Amino acid sequence: MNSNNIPKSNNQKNDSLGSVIYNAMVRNNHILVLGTAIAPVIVIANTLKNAAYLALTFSVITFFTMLLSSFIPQRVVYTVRVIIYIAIGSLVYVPTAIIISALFPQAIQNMGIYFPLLITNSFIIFHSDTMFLTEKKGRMILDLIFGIIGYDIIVLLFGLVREIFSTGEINGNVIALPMLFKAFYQPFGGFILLGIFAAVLRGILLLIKKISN
Amino acid sequence: MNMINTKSENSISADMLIALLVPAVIAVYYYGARAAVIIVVSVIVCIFTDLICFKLRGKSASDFDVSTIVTGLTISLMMSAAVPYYAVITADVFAIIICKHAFGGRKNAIFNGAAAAFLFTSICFPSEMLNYPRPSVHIGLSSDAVLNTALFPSMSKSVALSNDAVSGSFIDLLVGKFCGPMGTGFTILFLISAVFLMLRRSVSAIAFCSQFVVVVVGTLIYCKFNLSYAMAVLCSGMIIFGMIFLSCDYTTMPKTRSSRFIFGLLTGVLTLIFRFYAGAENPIIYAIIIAAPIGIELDKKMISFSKIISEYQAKKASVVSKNGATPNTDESGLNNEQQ
Repeated sequence: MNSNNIPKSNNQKNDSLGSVIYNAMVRNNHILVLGTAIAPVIVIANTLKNAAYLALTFSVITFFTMLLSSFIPQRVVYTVRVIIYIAIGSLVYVPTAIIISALFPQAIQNMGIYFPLLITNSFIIFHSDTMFLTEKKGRMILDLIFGIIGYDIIVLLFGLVREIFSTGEINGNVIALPMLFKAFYQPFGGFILLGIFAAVLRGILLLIKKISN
Repeated sequence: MNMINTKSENSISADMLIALLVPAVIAVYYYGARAAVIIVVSVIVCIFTDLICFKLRGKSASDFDVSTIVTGLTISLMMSAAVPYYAVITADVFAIIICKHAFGGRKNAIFNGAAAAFLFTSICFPSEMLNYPRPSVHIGLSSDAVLNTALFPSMSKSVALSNDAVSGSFIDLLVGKFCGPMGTGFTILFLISAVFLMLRRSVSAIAFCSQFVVVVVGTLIYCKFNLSYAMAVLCSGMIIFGMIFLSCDYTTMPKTRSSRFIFGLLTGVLTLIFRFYAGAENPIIYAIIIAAPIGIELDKKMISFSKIISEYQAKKASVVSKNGATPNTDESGLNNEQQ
């Protein structure tokens, strides 16, 4: 990922709630613009159900890990802080795994190794210091919530489109399609589809910019 | 480094187009009107998709080049004569949008569009793409006509499964009279085309010959010099066709002689591995997809390696001149490397 794409914190500005939501969910969308944690999206989100499992576990782990991590003083050196973030993530993971496995026994099996790997996603390791933890608490929580919602929306949309085109179903319900692109079910097809999603979002953003100018 | 001054891209594409027109005509002769329609649809879809992409990217239509027609024609020849039209259209759109324009145009492409598109569509529609009618069975144009036609696995697959000689005469193998893609089996014609293209400098002789020798020798050794089996392996699975029209594609081909040689060896070895150890039906497609990005990287490595050699020779030359000897031999060596 290009470091130039990483947006800096906006805690100096008094943005309106609308612009906070727009920036967090669309302009700095964590999947399509920043390329955050795309590996689990590519591998896991091949159906709507799997996408929902991913969105749920990602949201819980990331939100609570970041929230607890915000209490770590900035005086602590970055290397040590990252280790503490991961330790917090591991602590959050344990109850999350217990609850998720109780509610959706299939979920953890479907996600495989990518479920525990969510602890080390770049949201927590990389963007924590550049985007969130330098902000004031209230603003950080807003950015975090809407950043995660933006991520979840794209994951669900991606899973839905991928399921429709690769299996001709929506959440297991068959829909009549003239042809199926089974390649989209594979990880390489997922990469291509995600690339198309990113291109479409960038096209829309450019169009919005053009219109507003 | 031995950089090669190649011809203009359009001139190379024109030569490729001429070489591809002959198998296209033979495909129509073998499979009838449906083959002609597939070829025409493929070329037209490629051209239209390319023009639309140029428009969307804000480029003028004058940027259009002959290579698009070559891609369309190549894709169509790799198809089964019974393939549905939507599979052909999908392959064309994939080749032009994803493999060409998504990378910023043909010069920046890291995969051969036709090879990647064939792979993508054969994963999307495996039963439609990888079942073939017998040669000289003319299928009607409608999809109902395809349903009423007996389709068979390719000879490449049969050979891989049986691991033995296949039915069919030696001549049939050379003229492509066996179940398989409609325009990739005419081995004798492709060998003539390869000579023509190498003489016209449209195909790298180093890359083609190195991979050809590796594949032929490797196949003979693996087949324990069982000639009929070796011939069946070499004539099927798009191997010779792929070597000329996919592997020697000038956009993904390395630019220096040494890296072309290594690229040829690598493609040949990968083809053998995919053919004999993975049992792939069309091994050269996988080999090209893997070798093409490595080939691009090879250029950079060989150039930096050449610089190290040049510096070493220059150093040696300066030491020799300090000692009073004339550094003629080293100078000439240096000049050769710097060309």
